Amino acid sequence: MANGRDTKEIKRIRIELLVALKVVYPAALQSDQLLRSLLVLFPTLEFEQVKRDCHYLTEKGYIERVSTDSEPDASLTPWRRRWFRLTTTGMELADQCIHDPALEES
Amino acid sequence: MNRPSSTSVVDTPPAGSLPVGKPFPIAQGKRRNAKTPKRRKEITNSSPRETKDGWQERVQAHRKRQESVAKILNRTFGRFAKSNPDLWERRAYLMMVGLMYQWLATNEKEVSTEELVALSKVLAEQRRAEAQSRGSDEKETETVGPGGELPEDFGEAVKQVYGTNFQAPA
Repeated sequence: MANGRDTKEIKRIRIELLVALKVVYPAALQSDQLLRSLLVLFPTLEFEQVKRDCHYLTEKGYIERVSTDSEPDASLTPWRRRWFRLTTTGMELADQCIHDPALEES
Repeated sequence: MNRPSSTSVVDTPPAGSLPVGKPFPIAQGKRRNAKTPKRRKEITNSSPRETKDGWQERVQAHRKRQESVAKILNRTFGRFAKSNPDLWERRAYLMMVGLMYQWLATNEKEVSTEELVALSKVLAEQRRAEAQSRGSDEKETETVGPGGELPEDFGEAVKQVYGTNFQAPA
């Protein structure tokens, strides 16, 4: 459990992150835009949770950060302004070509 | 790029689906009785299940909306990867897709095609103007201070987006 959210909801949030990015693939979305779209389903969601999940999904190789030309130093870009997009593996997962038990509702 | 370590391409039965504390008939040398109903395989998919909190209804409505968003984005930008392989790297393009997604996926109200076209045009014009000003005179700063002048077509752009006239502060 993290921040009062149970395992089921944590999985749901991560799945919805992937679904949102799948809609715009191969383009990207800013983490702030991801949060706003997820608030429709998870009204109490906070940005810190989205940030953690972006970290998690990035380390899993499902999403990746995209730096634009207007970001000379990407590390200085505020988190809410950072762009993320699905990787090919993330796309396969979103299309259910592959399965990850950690992202399936039991 | 880190490859996922726990990704599997083969479906495995979910943990806990096997009966606990009851030996398998085959292990005791018995054949399955025809009258005994067969254990059905549990079908696993990632679609949401019926829940008390109404999750299924909410997520279905959200999925339907996202499907519409995907259609609109596809029609607006074409097949991203095929027709515009380098476009997604541009900030303007990202801004456009991101804003349109946010607008369409989160707004409860219907968005008309006219509004969408107006929004796209305003954004495209804004980005074009920014690119031009950067290219021609980078040294010149274009800031609109309290006493500065707004572009002539600013009011029209506001009207197109918000459906109301812009009134500059007195």
